[in-house]
Amino acid sequence: MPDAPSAALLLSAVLFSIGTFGVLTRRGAITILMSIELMLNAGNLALISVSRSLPGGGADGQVLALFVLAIAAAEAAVGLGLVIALFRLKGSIDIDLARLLRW
Amino acid sequence: MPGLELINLRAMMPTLFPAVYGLLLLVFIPLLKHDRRWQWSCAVGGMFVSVLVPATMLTQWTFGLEFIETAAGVPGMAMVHLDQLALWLDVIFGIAGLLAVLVMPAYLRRAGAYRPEIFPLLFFSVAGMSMMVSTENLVMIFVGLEVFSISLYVMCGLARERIVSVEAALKYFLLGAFSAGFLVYGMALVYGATGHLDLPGISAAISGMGEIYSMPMLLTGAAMILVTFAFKIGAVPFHFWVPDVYQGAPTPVTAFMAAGTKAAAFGILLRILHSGFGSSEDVSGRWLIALSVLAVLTMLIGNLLALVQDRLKRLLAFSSIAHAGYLLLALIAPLEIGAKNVLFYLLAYTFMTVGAFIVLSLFQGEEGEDADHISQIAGLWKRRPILSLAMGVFMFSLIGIPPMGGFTGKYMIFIAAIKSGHVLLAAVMGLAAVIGAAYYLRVIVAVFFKAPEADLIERIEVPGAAVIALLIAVIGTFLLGIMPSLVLEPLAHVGTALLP
Repeated sequence: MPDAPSAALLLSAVLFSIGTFGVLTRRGAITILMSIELMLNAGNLALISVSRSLPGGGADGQVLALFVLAIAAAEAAVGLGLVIALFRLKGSIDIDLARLLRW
Repeated sequence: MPGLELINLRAMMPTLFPAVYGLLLLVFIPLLKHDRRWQWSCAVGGMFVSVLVPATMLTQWTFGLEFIETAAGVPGMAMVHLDQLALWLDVIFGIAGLLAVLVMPAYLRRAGAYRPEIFPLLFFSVAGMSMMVSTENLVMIFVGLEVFSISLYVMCGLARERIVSVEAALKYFLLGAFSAGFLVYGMALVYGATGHLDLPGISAAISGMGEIYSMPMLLTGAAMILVTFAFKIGAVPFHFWVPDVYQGAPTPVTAFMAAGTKAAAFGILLRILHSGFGSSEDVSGRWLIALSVLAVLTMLIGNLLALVQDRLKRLLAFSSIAHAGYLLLALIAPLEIGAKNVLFYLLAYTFMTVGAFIVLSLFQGEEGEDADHISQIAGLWKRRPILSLAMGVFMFSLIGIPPMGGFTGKYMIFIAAIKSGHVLLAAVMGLAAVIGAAYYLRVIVAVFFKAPEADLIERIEVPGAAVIALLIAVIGTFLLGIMPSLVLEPLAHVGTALLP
């Protein structure tokens, strides 16, 4: 039976892998965005679980997790804006259609 | 009173100025709605001050070892750590921003995508870059990285009527956010292995633990952080976004991105590799293999792929990948020399590559689209001799021909690589530079010796601001080549100050 922080770290590694897999295999822009959020939140989970296990509570890991949350929200806003701009021009959000820029 | 030092405004000035100025612009731009000239003048003036602020601070520091911190004296609490490295990089960001903002409105107007929001965004990205390099804490590094990246995503997609612009922005965004995921998880792993998020703390913890290669968690975390920044500098094999994004983004934005992002990422690599994951006795030895592989791949593949490009923005994108390779090689040298070489090269690179992109930004077709095919600039010498000369200067400097800044920078990196015993790497660099000369010469031949071709742009407007920007870039390129000591002497101690 693993102790609490290493179990949480294991979970975060699994989440991170799922997120990475999703980014690499999915073609819909929204799904990719969701997968990226999963990766960021896996990082948050790892940060918080490590910070709990540190002597003295390790406040800086929790602070970083808060910053990551805020920045992920800002990033999602910009990303969704770009997806809408693509949809207006192409009528689809499949990123395979965005293939104008190829050599 | 320690409480007062928590807010040391002097340490934050180079970051705070562009951030606050950008916010003010955001508020006041609606009031200047109908006067584009005013909006633009405010942006140019502000960017000029953004260069001036770090430059003045630099002149006040004569020994090169000084630094100012917030929360000085409390270990691990300093969120802002302003030293010479940070100030020099701030100057580079400011110069890149200034040159880009000078040609921005003319380009965007012709492309039908003039939106004054680009000026505050430019200031925010300068602030973000400055924030990222003037700290020794991973929290601030992450926040700074995201501040400038998010601003750049928006700037790339600003011409939202143009599919290339939106595609470039989306590609940049998706890959950038993907790499941010790696950064966060890497930071979490490093935090788990060492219990610290500040670089001196990490360094101390590592040297207390012995061999780094026996700690998989720390090693994975550090590698993930390295991958993120390898992505930002466009090192092979993380370079796939570079040509697409450079080609699709509005050309002045590309110019700023090429110089600014590279300077920011290399600045932070210097800091992380040396004062974070390095150690005092073995400065870059721990990362030697990873850095050498990246450098060799980046130099060779960047230059080889540039050979087959016909669109000049793409060609310059691959050239920027190749230059990232040379800079990676500079990172390998011992820190005292390496930091100096990296900063000098970044400065020279800023002048020559931003200059080249500014020349390209003047070529636009009837619809305002980029006219950057190599046949479209053929015979430029017969029509615009002075513009051709400027392009020639930038190309020769990118090749590395004396007396241009590009030569001095390459020469110093080459010598440093040989002196530190990496003769093979130096040989690869020489080979890469020779391959590189071929495609730059192709541009020069097209400009000076070819006859104008059919798909010529009828009318090339060269606004006064572009003349000033090109003049600054040409003078900078020559100055760094003819009088390198002007910069090298103040840079002498930059590296020593970085050692833990």
